[in-house]
Amino acid sequence: MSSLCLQRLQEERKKWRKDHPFGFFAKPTKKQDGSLNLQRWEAGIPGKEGTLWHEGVYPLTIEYPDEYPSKPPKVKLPAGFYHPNVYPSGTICLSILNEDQDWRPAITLKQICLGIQDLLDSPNPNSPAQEPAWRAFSKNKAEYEKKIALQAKQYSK
Amino acid sequence: MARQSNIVRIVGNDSYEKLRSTKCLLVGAGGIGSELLKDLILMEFGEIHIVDLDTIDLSNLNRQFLFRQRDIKQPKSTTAVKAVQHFNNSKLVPYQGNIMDSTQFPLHWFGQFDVIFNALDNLAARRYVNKMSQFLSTPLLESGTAGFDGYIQPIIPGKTECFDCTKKETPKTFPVCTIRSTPSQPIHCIVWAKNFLFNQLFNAETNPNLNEEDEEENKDWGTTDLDEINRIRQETNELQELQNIVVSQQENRIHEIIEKLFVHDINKLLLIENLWKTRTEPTPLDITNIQNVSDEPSKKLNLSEIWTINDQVQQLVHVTKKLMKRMPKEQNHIEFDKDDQDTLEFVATTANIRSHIFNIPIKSVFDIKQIAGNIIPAIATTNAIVAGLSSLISLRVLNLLKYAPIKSPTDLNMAFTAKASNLSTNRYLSNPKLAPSSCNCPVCSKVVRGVVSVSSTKYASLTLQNLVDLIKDKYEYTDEISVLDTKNQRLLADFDFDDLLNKTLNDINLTDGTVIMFTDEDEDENGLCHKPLELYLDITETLPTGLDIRLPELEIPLVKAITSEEATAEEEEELSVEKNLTEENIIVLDEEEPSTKKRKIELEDEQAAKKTKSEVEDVIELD
Repeated sequence: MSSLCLQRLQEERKKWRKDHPFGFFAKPTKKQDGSLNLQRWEAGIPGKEGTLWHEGVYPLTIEYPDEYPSKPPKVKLPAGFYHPNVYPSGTICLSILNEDQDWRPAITLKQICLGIQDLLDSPNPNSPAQEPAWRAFSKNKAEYEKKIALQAKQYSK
Repeated sequence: MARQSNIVRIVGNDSYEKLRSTKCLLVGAGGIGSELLKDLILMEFGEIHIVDLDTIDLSNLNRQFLFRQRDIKQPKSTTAVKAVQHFNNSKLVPYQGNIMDSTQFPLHWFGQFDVIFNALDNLAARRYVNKMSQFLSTPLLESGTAGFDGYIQPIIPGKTECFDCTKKETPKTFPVCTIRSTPSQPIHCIVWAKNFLFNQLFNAETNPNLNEEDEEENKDWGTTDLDEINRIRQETNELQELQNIVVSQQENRIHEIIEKLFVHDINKLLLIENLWKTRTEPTPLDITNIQNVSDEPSKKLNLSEIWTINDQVQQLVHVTKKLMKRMPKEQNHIEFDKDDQDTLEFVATTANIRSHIFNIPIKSVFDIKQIAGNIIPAIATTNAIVAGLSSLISLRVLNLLKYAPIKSPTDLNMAFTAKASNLSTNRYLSNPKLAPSSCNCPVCSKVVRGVVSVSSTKYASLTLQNLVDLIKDKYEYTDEISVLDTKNQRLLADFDFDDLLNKTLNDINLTDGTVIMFTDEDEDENGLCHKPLELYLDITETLPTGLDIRLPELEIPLVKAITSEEATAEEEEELSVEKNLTEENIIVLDEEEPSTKKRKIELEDEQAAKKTKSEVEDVIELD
């Protein structure tokens, strides 16, 4: 990991501490020796009020590559997460997390978390990442909404 | 004798004497290192210390000309020294070891050298030596090659750009969607096979859900509908199931893995019609290909030929069996390695079957080895040119050329090949003057450096809190202090994390040679805070009597806390500069005395150039 990567992650932690959106959490994971691993974080994204998602807080893992901030972090929901833009492994397909698309080195943890919160309730049917949720979302809204509510319950606070 | 009189003629008697008393460090005795060692000896440097970690491999012999077949498996450093003895007039000291090992090579060991030559093959070691040179203000000659391209960059700490002042290009990554769902080139399938599939199957640590299995029974699924529960479970478990087949060595179920990957998963993709509106649909693997697999040992296949799909499947089954058998012996964790034939063939066959499905051309195992292993052929001539330039420029760095004196370090030149620079195709080498340190460099500009010396008795009882308090007192830091171990890349303490403060440095493995960074995270009313301080931990018996810990005497300036928005502006500006490079401002490089305006363009060109140049870094592993 470069000095740039390490110093930037330290900065991200400081910024999150001083300013983060209500109901969210994000913290680096502990290494075996008790110190904190700034390259691997755990976070929780609350579903937006007034949407089918609001009951849940959805767990994220955020992995920063050695080349961060030139390259984006890899952000995952739990494997099997039901959402049209989430791969079966949990990897999230979101343009700001894609080096070739809208990733910019200045994008902060806060922006990523808010971006994912947005994505939850406004999936992009043109970037399908899993079949069941995509199909239900495009063809059978009732079933889709039932499953989302179910999932929200599963991850309820 | 002739050699000496030639050198004297070039540099003069005084400089020759200085050369004879100059002590230099050569890091790396591989491709560039072999050449450099020869050059430095011919230049009659007084003392040359050579460090290399590696032993000699057959594939080195085409260019690392100091080594012969009989030397294979011998250490590079000592073998190189033996090989040059018959024309050597310098004191040579070889070391076999990792330059980043601070026990073998502590900071004060680096301190004995007048100049350091890097002839390294990886980014981590380059960065480390760069940092050591910054701690000591020792000039560093950085160099690298990849195929026909190469560069040298003299680094004068505090005066010119350091190795980390410019961004280093890293290997290209692909959007996850392309890799998982819509590959269109062989490389997409190779990345899928190597980075995704291989890990998923042969690295039992990959799946975070392993530990959750026990709890699953009691999990609240939010529904009593069994079908629903099963569907969610199935999604979660499908990938896990494939790994289970591998871990439990069920050879008779290999066909299930193949069917899942190349039939079921493809059928699932086909159901997402949106993906195929503008693309050719994939064709799932013909099931008969899987059924046809025989138990016969596979026939001898030529690695540089393109195999039929039947052979690919046959060989995949064969090699998967072999890898399964290896799992228990290797703690259920096998890593892809291009020189590990089993892993290579697994990646090659799975990538090819996937290519076949997506109507992408199939490649030979040999070709895939080159792509998956990032192999760029190393070329002896490039190494020789770069080493020659590096040794020549060292004469100017040490200011030994009276007819080309340096008034300021930025009078020095760097050099890179035209192709590596993207600037000009009509000359092989460009040699712009050095740029001053970048004010945003996280290594040379944004931190203050020093050495903290601690006696071993004091060290035994010194807690992290003690050290933090000393720093706060001495340099007037606020309470919001964040402590990083920059060598082992971990956060030790900050405002929200105090678990480790009461432990001794030894408890938390802060040993001799660790580099610790202290950052003041509280801004004053003007938005200013202390510059971060990076300290090298030196456990020593040489402190004056009565003194058990000594912090360096440093002025720590107050700086503006940089917000990300500002950083954005800078980075985006940089991007636009790169994009605006046109033919016109390229020509400027050739002029001797550029005007101020042109000079600015030249600098930017250099930055862009170095950015491209450093793409080189990650692929030079062969050296």
